[in-house]
Amino acid sequence: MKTKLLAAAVALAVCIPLSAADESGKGKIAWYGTWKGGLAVAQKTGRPILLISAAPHCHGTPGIW
Amino acid sequence: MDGSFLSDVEVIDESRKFVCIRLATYENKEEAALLKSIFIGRSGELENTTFAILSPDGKRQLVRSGRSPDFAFRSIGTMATTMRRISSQYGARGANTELPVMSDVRLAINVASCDNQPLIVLRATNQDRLAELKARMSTLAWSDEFIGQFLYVATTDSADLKAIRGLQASSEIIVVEPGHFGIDGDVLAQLKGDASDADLQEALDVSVVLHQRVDKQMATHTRLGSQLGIQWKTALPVTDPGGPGRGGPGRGGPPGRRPRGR
Repeated sequence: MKTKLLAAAVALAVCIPLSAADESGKGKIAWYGTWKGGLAVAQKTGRPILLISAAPHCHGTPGIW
Repeated sequence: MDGSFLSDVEVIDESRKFVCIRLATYENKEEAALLKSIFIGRSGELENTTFAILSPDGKRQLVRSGRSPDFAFRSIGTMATTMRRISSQYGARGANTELPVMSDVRLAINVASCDNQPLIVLRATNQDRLAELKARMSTLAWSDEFIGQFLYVATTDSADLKAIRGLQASSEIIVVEPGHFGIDGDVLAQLKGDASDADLQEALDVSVVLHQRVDKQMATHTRLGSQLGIQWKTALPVTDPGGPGRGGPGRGGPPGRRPRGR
């Protein structure tokens, strides 16, 4: 357990804190998180759809795209 | 995400004229079927990432679909220009006004961690109250100040919030700092739904400032997650030939990283 905690501390220590704001000073793309919800808005507003999918885990580990 | 198609300033600007939908690939059977109908790689199975631009009814593909934007565009600049052309062809009848919520709290915390962004959780005891909270938050979510600054999720089940530390029982609008691995989080700010506009605005302002972005290195992150026994359980089997949780032949993540070019 101690080894695991030490590894965690070391690994987290190398993470580099970044500025709270995006480099551009603007927000990111505002994503609808479900097809049903987004499609309803697109149909209502007549706006085209930008669609992506991605897996919020890498090698089974969450917290990273 | 820096340097990618989807974090480019021009692409983000053009995205405001679209309805942008991001699905978690292996979390919903119907959505997975939709994704497979749009793009299947050589494996014949659903792969980790999909990219498409569709007509407002969702039925017509307007550019070449694929795993990522570079299936359709030679450069980020081309993507922005094409998006501008497409949006101009559709006479939008209104603005995005619905709150862009995720499907559930567990997934939302994880995605917020992946995105390095705070998450706003709306909690109510019934759907009518939740609708009121969504309507109120929507105005701020699409404002110039806060658009794209937060992720959102809504729930009527307090059990969904057990992974969030520092929560008060009466809070209805909760800003959460997602944990490093996206399996838990800490309250940055919390209010009742009838808080004043000024208090709500201030809570969001403060949360943006308090939010700590961290640069996660994939190798370090996954190694540490493995050491700690942290595993994400998907709703559906991961079928990407690149392996579990990988982005296929290459890498995972939101589609498309490429140096800026024209």
